[in-house]
Parts: sequence; C-alpha cells; structure tokens
Amino acid sequence: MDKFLELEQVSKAFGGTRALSRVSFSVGQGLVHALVGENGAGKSTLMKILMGIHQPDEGRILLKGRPVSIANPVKARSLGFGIVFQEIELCPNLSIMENLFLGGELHHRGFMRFREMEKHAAEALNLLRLKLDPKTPVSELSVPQKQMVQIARAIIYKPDLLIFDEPTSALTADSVQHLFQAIKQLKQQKITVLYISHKLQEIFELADMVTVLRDGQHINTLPVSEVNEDKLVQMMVGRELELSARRGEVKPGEVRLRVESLSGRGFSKISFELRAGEVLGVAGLVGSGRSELVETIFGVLPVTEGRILLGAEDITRHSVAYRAGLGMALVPEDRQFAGIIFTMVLKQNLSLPGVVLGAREFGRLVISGARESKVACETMQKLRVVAGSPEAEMQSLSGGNQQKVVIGKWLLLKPSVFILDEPTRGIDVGAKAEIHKLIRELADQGRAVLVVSSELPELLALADRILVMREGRLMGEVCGERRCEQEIMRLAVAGVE
Amino acid sequence: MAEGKLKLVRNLFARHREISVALILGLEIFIFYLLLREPGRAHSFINGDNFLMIFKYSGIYGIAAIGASMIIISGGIDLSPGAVIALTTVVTGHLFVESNLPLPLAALLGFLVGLGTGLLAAFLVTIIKLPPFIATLGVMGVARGLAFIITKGGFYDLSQKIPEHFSLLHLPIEYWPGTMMVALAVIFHLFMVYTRWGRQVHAVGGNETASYFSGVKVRRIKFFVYLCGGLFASLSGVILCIVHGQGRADVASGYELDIIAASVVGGASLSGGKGSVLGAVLGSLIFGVLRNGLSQVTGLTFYERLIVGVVVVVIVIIDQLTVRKENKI
Repeated sequence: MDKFLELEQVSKAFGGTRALSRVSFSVGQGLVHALVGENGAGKSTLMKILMGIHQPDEGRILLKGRPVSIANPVKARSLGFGIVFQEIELCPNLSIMENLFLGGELHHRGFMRFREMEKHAAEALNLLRLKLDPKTPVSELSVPQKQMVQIARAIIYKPDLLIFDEPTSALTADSVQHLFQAIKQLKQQKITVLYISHKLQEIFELADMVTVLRDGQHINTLPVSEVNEDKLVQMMVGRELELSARRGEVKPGEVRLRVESLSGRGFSKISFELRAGEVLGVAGLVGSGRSELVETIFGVLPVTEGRILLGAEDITRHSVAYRAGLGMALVPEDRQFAGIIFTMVLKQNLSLPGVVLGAREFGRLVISGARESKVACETMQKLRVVAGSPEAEMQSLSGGNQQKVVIGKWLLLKPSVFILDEPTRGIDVGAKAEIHKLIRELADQGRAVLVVSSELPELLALADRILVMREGRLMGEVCGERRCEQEIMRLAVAGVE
Repeated sequence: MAEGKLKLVRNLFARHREISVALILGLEIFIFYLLLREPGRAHSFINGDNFLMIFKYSGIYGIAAIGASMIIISGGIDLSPGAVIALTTVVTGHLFVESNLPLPLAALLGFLVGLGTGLLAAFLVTIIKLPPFIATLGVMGVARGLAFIITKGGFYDLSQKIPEHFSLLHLPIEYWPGTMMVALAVIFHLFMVYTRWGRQVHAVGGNETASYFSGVKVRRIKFFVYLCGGLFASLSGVILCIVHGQGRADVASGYELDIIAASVVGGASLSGGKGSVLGAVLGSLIFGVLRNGLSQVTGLTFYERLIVGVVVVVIVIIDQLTVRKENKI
C-alpha cells in the first residue's frame, strides 16, 4: 500500500503544555484511517496542523513522500486536504449551492457564474447519492441532510484527503448509517479519509487502520482487524490514574433527590437516587444528555415524562425559583452564558439567588449595599476568590475566580442538593483543586452533591458512585471495586453488549 | 495620593452616571446663560417663568422616560409612548368634553386605557413572545390609530371647561408636570436600585439566561416592566391633556425616539442591564433645556434638529470613550 501521508516526529506545545510530542505515523492511500484518544489526547491539535491552522514546532509532514509545509488553511486546501467539522456550520437562509461555494463563489468580473456552480454542486451531491436540488434552502433540510451538505462542501474542492472531526456527535443512529455509506462512497473514489472519533463501534465498522493517541503521544498504529474493543480502550486510557486524596468511606444518609424514569430533551427513562452526604458522579461523552438531564432536574428544561422528588415533595412541575427555595442549586455547564451577569458587579452576582428568594441577610424591604458587601466578603474568604473588592467588575476576574462566584452565589441558601455541571472546565490547576476540596466539604456537611464531568480522573477522585450515560440513556452505575476508568469508558463508548 | 483621589473621583463618575449627566446639564445652562445675556435687561433664559416652562415641557417626556428606561434596562425597547400619550389625551378629552364626565373620572378612564396598552405590550412580549421592537411597534400603531378614529380628524378643547387658574391639591396645574416628574423619578430610581424587583430587572437585562438559572421569574419581570411603560406613558398623557387643555391624536408624535435618546444619554445601554431612571429623567431635561434655549437664540430656528441630533451622538461618544478607559485600568 502506498503511503499517502506521513508524519515524522511532529511536536507542538502551547505555552507549557505539550499537546503533541514526537508523533510519527503514516496513512495509506485510499484507506479510512481512524484517530482515537480521550479528550485532550492531541487529536484536534493534529487535525489543526494538517489544516494549516497551527504550525508544528518540530518534525515534518510528507505528502506522497515529499515534505510539505502547510502554512495556512488556503495552502491545506490547495494540497488537497478537506475537512468536515463536528458542528453544522451552514447558513440556513441560503441554498445548498450557495452554502457549498460560500466564500469561494465562482465569478466572472464580480458576476456570479450560477450555471457553473450549479453543475459542480450537482456533481458533489451526486457523489454522495443525495437526491436534492442544489437550489433548496438549507433551512428545509433535516439534520442528517445538513451533515451531508457539510461533506459536499468539503468535496466540492475535489480533495485527496478528507478529515472528519467527530462527525456523528450530532446525528441519530440511522443518519449515522447514511454517513457511513457516504464515507464508503468516498473510499471508492480513492479519497483517503482520516476519521476522528471516540465512538469505538464506528471505528470497527468503518476503518481499515487505527492510530491511538494518549496525552499527546503516539501509542500505536495498527490494522483494525488486529484489535478488539478492550485492547483499544486500554491503549486509550492506559496511564496511571491521577487520584487526588479520596474521601474516606461515607455512610450516605436519607434520600434527598429521587428521579423516577425521567425523560426530557435529549435523554429518556433515567432513574436514580441521591442521598445526603454522598457525591454522585455523572459520566458520559459530550452529547450523551448529561447536561440536559441536570438542567431538567433543576427546572430549566421541560420534563416530558417521569417524576422528580426533592426530599418528599414532587417538584416535577415547579419553577426554578421554587426548587431553589426548597434547597436545590445548579452550577451550569456554560459559565459565561448561564452563570454570570457581566453588567453587575461581583457582590451583586453573589447575592442574586438570595435576592430573588428574598433572603433576610440583605435587609427586609430594601437591599442594603453594606450587608451585601459583608455577605460577599464572607463568601469570597471562604472560597478564596481573588478580586479587588466586592465591587469588582466580573470581567476583571480570572476564569477560576468567576467559577467560584457562580458556585458561591448558592452557598448562602445552604442548598441540600447541589448540582455542578463541569465545575472545573477551563480553569487553572490551583482553582480546580480548591473547587474539588469545596465539593468534598459540601458532602461532608451532609449535602447531596451531583457532579457532571467529562474528565474521568476528576469523577474518580470526587464521586462515591458514578452513573454512566450514553446517547441519552443510563448505561450503568460504577461503584466500589468496579470503579475504574476502563469500565466507565466501556459503558460510555461501547455500551453493554 | 493625588492619583488615589483622582481614581476615587473617576470611580464615582463611572458608578454614578447621573453625576456626569447633571454636569452636562449644568454646562448646557451655563452656555445658554452666556449666549442669551443682554446687558441692562432681565435674562430671558435664567428666570423663574422660563424654568417653569422648561419643566412643564420636559415633564411630559420625563414621566414617560421613567417607564421607558425600566424597559431598556430590562433589555427591551418601547416604541409606543408617544402614541399612548396621544390616545390618553384623546380619551380623556372625549369623556370630559363629549360625555360630560367630571374631570377626575375622565382622567382616570383615560389613564386606564393607556395602562391597557401597556398590558397589551406586556402580553405580546411575554406570552406571545414577539420581539419587543415589533410588539411595541404594533401597539404604537394601534394606539395612534384609535386616537385618530375617536377624534375623526378634529380635537377636543378642554380649556373652555377648565378654570383659568386651575389648581390641584393647592398646586397650580402648570407646576404638576415638573413636580410629578421629580417625585416619581426619585421614587422609582430608589425602587430600581434598592428593591428585589429592581435588582431583578437589572439582572434580566444583563443576562436573561443566567437570571433564569438563578431563579429569576424572567417572564414576570418583563411583564411588569412593559406594564410600567404603559403606566408612565399614560400618566404623562393625562397630565399633558389637562395642562394644555387639548386632546389631540397628533400630539407627542416622535416622542418615543426622544424618550429612548433621553434614556441613552442618561446612561442606559440598548443591549440592556445598564442605566438608571434618574439618568433618563436628567436626559429628558437636557433635551428640554436644549430646545428651549435654542428657540431663543436668534437665527438658529432651522438648526434646532441638527443640533439636537449632534448633541445626542457627541454625549454617547464621550461616554463610550470614558467607559473604555475605565475598562483598561
């Protein structure tokens, strides 16, 4: 088999972190080559280097035996590299054809050459066996059809190498099959495919070769026929677990939160119990319905079926404010979008839930700024929020300190059920450790804590039990001796056979 | 030491936008004092009668601006106040002149009709979930249209039936717009700054999603502010009707944009979360003084609109420059 693309000792560092260190492997001509690894393994950095978005610090890339430099995305395109992104990035108000040529319209002295573009668009759609008129507005397409248009957009430039970046995360099971057929079509056209995914089943169905990356290092490249699921998971996870000091054995108290066959947007039939004094983790890949589940429990998203009980009370139909008043708190996944109000200063952000619920700490009739400052100072001390003063602008705080504010605003209300969705995403190591400590303290004080996280080491360090979700369903619970990363990955990625 | 004081002053200005708006107002009055000074004669600008006049006219804008600024702080916009003012004057005038109802009753009913338009806007924005711009544009059309249907092209003259030196609660009617404006501005400024409801209006304007995630009943807050928008516009209409003795369908046209401009000059941001009631009322006074003064400067009659437009833009530019500086430090 001819070597189409070769990577030799490719390294890339961002500041102090090495995203890729001396990665070498080759991709055969006309094959579907899968690239797997956990979050942060270096998959996307590698992809961005191939697309000319980043430049490698060391090493070289050879295309058909000749070294090439990929200085920018335009160069990548001219070398014959195309990419299909994870998110759908189409303009819904424009037609398929207009989307395909967006930014690269064919023209003659500024006048669009519609007939030529239509011809090329029809060819691309034909190649993917899509029976669609290129003039159809994208807004009229289904999600899988839109995904196909994304692929058509990449093949319109007749690439030799097509990179797929987790293309199935937004797709349903049957549209995944459509996608696979399209990829097999491309393979017949002698197009080389680099397929990035962490869904193992897909790799066994689709790929000829697989490369495993872990912590920026190349672990192995081998034919898919020579590996099985367990071996692959082991290669992906394989490192020593970085456990921070675990909590001692806890005796869970009474049931604080009970979820009974709950269904909502993006998940269905989920049941579990959460007891006082325990930390329950929720693991799963992005898009598995974790965030939707906790937001539904908090009343932000609607329940379609099932019940939620807080203590003994059925809160399924109650408002966010009512739930918060009964002692439930949620730290949302997206801190900027759903956590912070940037037009208000630090102390006002900290006091908001208390103010909404009429907490007496801020004064009876009117809000006293002095009392607000006093409460804010206490919270800031407790969480070690580094800020100029209680009147500091939220923009001036670091990500870690902003996150502490989003957590801290609930502390005054002493919630009995504390839900944290990705509590340490994108914050520095020091703040992360402090938030972990806080979560343990909350549980030690007898609160029931639910933690959603994409980082398995974090869940393993914090949680007493871990629920694993996949595609909106609860795949199982990991606890006690079975508590290990591989088991969770197996449930999250492959499911129970 | 001096630097510390400078920073303190700068902080004071950044936190309390009303101070700089008041300073601009003072500067404006000083400029007109210089321009209109004529040796040996009483000053035509700086005198009690003229100030009463300024307050009488600015009060109509200012009272409506209280509600409008609350809506803008919540992240919305209201295009209806001018039309609602007109409808209120027409309904009050019709009931008083044609139906021979006593003035207090006619005024009350006129006020309730205006309040009803606020209710309609609140309904369209929070229940039907129309964008505020479209919802209040619709309300504007409906209110102005109803006013024309009722008057059939004419107008109601109330002045014949209102006594020459009419006064209410021992306060001559000419003093009412200014007095009401100042009193309501202070009350609702304090309401917005110091109460739970006011804080939640600011929160919704700053980040609706984050407010919802913190337990704020976003729809209830929005309903409340649009209702307030109708309330203050219609109060302004009743006062206008009695003070000027007319109920006209074409009165207060274009006020909505002047009121929005006054709120923005007073420190409100059209993207929500920022601004104050006091700032908006001071903004209305800036425009009132500007119009009054320009009308007295000979030879500037045709320049009035141009100058008003330039002043709005310049004040907002200065504000943006100072805010940007603040953020850099």
